[in-house]
Amino acid sequence: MIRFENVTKTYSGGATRAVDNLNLEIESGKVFGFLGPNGAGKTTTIKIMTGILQPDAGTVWLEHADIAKDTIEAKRMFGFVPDSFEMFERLTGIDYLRFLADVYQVGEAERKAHLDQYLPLFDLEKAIGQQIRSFSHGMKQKLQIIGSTIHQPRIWILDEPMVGLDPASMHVLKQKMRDYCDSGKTVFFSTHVLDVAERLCDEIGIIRDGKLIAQGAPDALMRSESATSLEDVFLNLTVKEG
Amino acid sequence: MFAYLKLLVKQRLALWNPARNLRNAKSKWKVVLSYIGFTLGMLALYGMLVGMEYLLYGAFVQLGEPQTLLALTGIVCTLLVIVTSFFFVLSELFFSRDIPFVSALPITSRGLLGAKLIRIWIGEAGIALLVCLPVVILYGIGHAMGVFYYLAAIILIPLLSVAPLAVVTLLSFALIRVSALWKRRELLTIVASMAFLIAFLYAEMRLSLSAEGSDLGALVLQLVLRQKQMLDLVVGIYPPIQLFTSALTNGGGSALLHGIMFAGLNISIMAVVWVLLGNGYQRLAVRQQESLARLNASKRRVGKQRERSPLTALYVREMREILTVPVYAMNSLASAVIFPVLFAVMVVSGGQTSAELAMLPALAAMVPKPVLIAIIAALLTFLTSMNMAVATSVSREGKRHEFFQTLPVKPRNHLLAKLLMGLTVNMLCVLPITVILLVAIPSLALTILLGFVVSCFFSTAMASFALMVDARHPRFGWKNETEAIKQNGIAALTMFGSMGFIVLCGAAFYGLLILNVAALNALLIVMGIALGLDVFLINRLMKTTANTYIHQEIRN
Repeated sequence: MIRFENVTKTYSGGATRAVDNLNLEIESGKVFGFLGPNGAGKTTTIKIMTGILQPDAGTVWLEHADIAKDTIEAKRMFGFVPDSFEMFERLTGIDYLRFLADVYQVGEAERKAHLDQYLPLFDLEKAIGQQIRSFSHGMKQKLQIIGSTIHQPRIWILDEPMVGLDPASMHVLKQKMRDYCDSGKTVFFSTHVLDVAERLCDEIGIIRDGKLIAQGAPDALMRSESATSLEDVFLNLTVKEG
Repeated sequence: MFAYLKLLVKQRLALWNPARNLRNAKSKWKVVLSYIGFTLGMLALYGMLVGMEYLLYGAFVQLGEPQTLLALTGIVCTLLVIVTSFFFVLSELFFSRDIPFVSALPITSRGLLGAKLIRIWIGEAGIALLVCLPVVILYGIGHAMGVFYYLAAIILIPLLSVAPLAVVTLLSFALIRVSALWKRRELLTIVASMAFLIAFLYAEMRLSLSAEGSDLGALVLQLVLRQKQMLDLVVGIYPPIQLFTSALTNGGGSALLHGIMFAGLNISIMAVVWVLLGNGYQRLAVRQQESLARLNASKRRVGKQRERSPLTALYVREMREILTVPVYAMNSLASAVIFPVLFAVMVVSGGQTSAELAMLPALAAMVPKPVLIAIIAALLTFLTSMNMAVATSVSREGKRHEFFQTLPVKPRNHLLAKLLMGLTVNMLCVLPITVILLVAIPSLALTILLGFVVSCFFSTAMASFALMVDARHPRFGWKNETEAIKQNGIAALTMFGSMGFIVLCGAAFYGLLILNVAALNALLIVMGIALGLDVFLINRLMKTTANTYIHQEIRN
């Protein structure tokens, strides 16, 4: 479960409201797609829920932990794939995964099982012993995806996870996201790929100028906006007139 | 070429642009205060340099050779460029992240090399001007020099760094070419750079030792009788400085001729290097980047998955970064390698130094033991004051800071891992020289060991303070590793602050001795202050600072 209660984040001394009184609840076992135009506040919202940024007001609950108060417990709850790879370029892929496993205190057997399952799935078996800086963008993205679930978190947060992935890996990722939810866990991801969101998500949230302007199942949103696709819904709600 | 040069200069200036930093700041007052603090700190440091040059100038006037100080300052600038810019040039030319980008632009290879060298030269020329100008002004006032003297100085001083830059460029090209043959090229870069510095410092030292050793009495007599000038000795170190000095101190056509010759010499050396290497530069730089990826693609065995605690994992990562990134290793571990090697070479090579070492126990017997312990402690602590690894450990996270913020690790453990890394680097710097001292002067073993222990109290306080400052004022917005560790003004100030702390403790110890406090008691008091500081700083680091650290936001 993820819950945002009156979350606000401002910049430039309050002149810019990146997130404006956001209230949102996502139940466990759901894939939640977070949509919005560029600069709408998606990444800021994700950074607040992962503890990177402090909100000016409001609370974010991850399961039963408040990210501002029970920080360490809350951070154990999620695995996070950021939108850009600013990582440890001189570490090898396996060293990076080992580091994460140590930090999340994952046992030997569990980490081995995880790698045995995910490395072949994302076709990284051969490259995993190489330094990360020799990786392509897609390979780095796949490495982050594998690392983010090494501790089997209750919540999986992904910021633009499809960017840079080849079609096969994208397919695997979508499958994994679905499997994750089917096991009772929560997936929260932001994307601009509306087709994927429409087919994959149980619930959609659309944000504009820091405000949540729509929330619901894709079908319900399409009905309420009398649209035939999620793309139409998105354009109706986010493209400003004039 | 000029468009690219303009871009490089603008990018450099943007880092220091107060208006930009003020606009993006959360607390404008903090930015203003930090700028004021930084400016005052820099002014204080520069004031110390000016004061020192003023005193030296007075001494040289007494000797009747003020022009020698002009030559000496010029030589200092030349040596500074060689010693400090070697690694900077190497990383700017071959490890810079913009190489793939600029290689795709319609700029010639020579144009790229030229722009990068001019950009480096602008920085070095600025430093040379700052170092030389006080002496130039003192000499100008002392000798009532005209406007042409000042004009010549402003033109010629920036040229001091041109020839050394050309030599360093040549060496860095050679190193990259040679390292292409070796798989572990980064290790080679670190080893070769250290070897270069050691060889250079050793040669300088041997030169000065042999100059002193070879009939010192006769030399002094010649100086006293004015048969020989000190200027001749100074010029012997770097002959072109003769042209620089005469261009400033002579008058009329001779000054003009020497000035033109000095400028011509520097520019032509650089021109030769630029013409010779310019065409192949881009190809070599791109190949270097490609081979970096290719060589790194060699697969490492995926070993057994052993568990470690989060603190150990963080500490291992910190240490690994310091040891594997060449520019970090060079800036953090130089004193761990250079001083012990130089010292060992001097001891092993015998001669005057060995003879002086043999006399040390007898000399030491005349000094109270606590004073000796304090001297050894001060020397060892000084070695750790140049620990840029800990002073930049938060800043070096760069944009990865956000990754650390998401980890389920207590903030204090992040800082503890960094502090442990800093203390390990301190140990790496201090232990070799302690061991060499123990081997060289075994009769003072206990005193040396106690000096080592005392130094640990001081170096821990300095490391904690440096980490605290960096955690509170990190500079995440660097573009390459050189910027991350070398161009961090606050870390540099912290380093000078640490040196000031050593001086302050030394002064306190001396003051207590003057007040007739027994040497042992004086040492215990100063040690007690350091210990108290350790407890206070570590406590603050683990509590308030850790909280500030984890909430630092990266601003674009």
